[in-house]
Amino acid sequence: MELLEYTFVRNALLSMLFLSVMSGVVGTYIVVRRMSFAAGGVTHASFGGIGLSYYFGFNPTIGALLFAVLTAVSVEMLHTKEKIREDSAIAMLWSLGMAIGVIFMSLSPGYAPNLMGFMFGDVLTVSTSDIVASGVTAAVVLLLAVVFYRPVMYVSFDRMYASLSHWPATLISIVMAIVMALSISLSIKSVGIILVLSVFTIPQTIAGMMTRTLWSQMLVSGVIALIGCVLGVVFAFYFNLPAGATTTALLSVVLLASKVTIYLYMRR
Amino acid sequence: METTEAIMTLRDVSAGYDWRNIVSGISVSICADSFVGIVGPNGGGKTTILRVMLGLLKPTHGSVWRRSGLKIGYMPQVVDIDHEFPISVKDVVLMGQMSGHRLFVGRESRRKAEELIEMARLGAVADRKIGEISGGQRQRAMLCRALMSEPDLLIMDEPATYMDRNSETTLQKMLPSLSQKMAIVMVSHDLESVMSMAKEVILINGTMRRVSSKNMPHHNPDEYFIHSRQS
Repeated sequence: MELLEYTFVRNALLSMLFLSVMSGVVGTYIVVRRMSFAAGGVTHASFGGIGLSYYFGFNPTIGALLFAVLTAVSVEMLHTKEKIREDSAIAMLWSLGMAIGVIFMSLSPGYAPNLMGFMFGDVLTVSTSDIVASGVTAAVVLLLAVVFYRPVMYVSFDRMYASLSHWPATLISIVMAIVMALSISLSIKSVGIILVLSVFTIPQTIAGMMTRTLWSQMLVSGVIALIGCVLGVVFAFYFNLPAGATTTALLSVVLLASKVTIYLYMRR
Repeated sequence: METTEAIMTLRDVSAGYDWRNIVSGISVSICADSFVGIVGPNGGGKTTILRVMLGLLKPTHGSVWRRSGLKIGYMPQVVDIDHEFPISVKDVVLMGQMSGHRLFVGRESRRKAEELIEMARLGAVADRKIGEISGGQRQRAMLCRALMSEPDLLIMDEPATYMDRNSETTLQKMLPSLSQKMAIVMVSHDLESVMSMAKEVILINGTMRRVSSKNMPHHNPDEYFIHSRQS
């Protein structure tokens, strides 16, 4: 409990709580719609916004957020309206975002001190404004999940049938793409560009092995993400390790253990 | 044949993908009491016509007319759905009621879904994940979903493909009573099964020929399928 005496630890835990809510809802949406590659594209393309922010001198989180939203919406529009293959659209925007980031980083004078923080994240350095932004987004995500649970589930399950039933399938997909981009870009500060994908895919994969419905997968993956993140911070604190990488490693161990347990149970 | 007014009419329709027509010269009129079977070989254009009927594909030539407010129930092939998606059989059936902009499921919808699930003998698997049931059970769940909105026209794409004998018998028992309440269009490559149920049969292989199922023994469909492609 001595850990809670530190403000940065309390901030980190609060940040992890909000991250887990976003991970539970949005991560499950990503996994069941098989959008992990799209999520990877959005995450990496946001580097373009970070590069721009360093060059023009504004908040990198806002830059990442703008690029993430732009990429997510562009992928959806290029795929549905322009009939460009989704994986091709993702690959193009992924590299373009990274390229823009690298170009503006190299044009920026001096040294980019927080660059490593954005690449690998550091939950122990999140600011109060970061926490407020994450908290508001987590609340919106939770509200959307409760009110639009069925439309989102049905459009994700069978988009063609949803369209035939006069559901605005494209609008729902675009809104969810924006929500995904917001959640991912606001989580970058905590776990970093390289590791954020693990929090949005590993708990959901573990939860998918033990649940049958979308809402239970969202709930269980949120709890797994929270436990994984908290343990990650605790381990990182006591063993002086990077928190994001420790969390990813822990979640991967739990995934492996779950797979082995199920395998052994089935062989019984 | 039909005694009622048309609810959907396709006039001289051509349609296809990527600048290439798969079907041409298709003229079909569906009435309120129609039970039409569309039969043809793979690649003959059965699904293309079905997509035109559903409004998912625009014809490159000709016209499609639908009665105003026409409710269409659609039963896709089970290969078209995501078997790993975390959704229960009951929720799949309830999806049929979610037309328009309803956000929540009412008590009446739940009651109707339960009735259909019982009728399709799916009660024991209603809470199972859609991927955990057999192909035949999945087909029946898709049929229940199509029936939830009480459609005027039921369109079925290869309904018996993955059905075992039991499921097929259940479907064959259900369809005659359903055809009393709604028009049915059934797409299949299985001529025998279509002939046993449909009032009229359309043979499709790029072009079409409409015949009465009663006259089918006098036609040789295989011969038609072979020659129609060459002409």
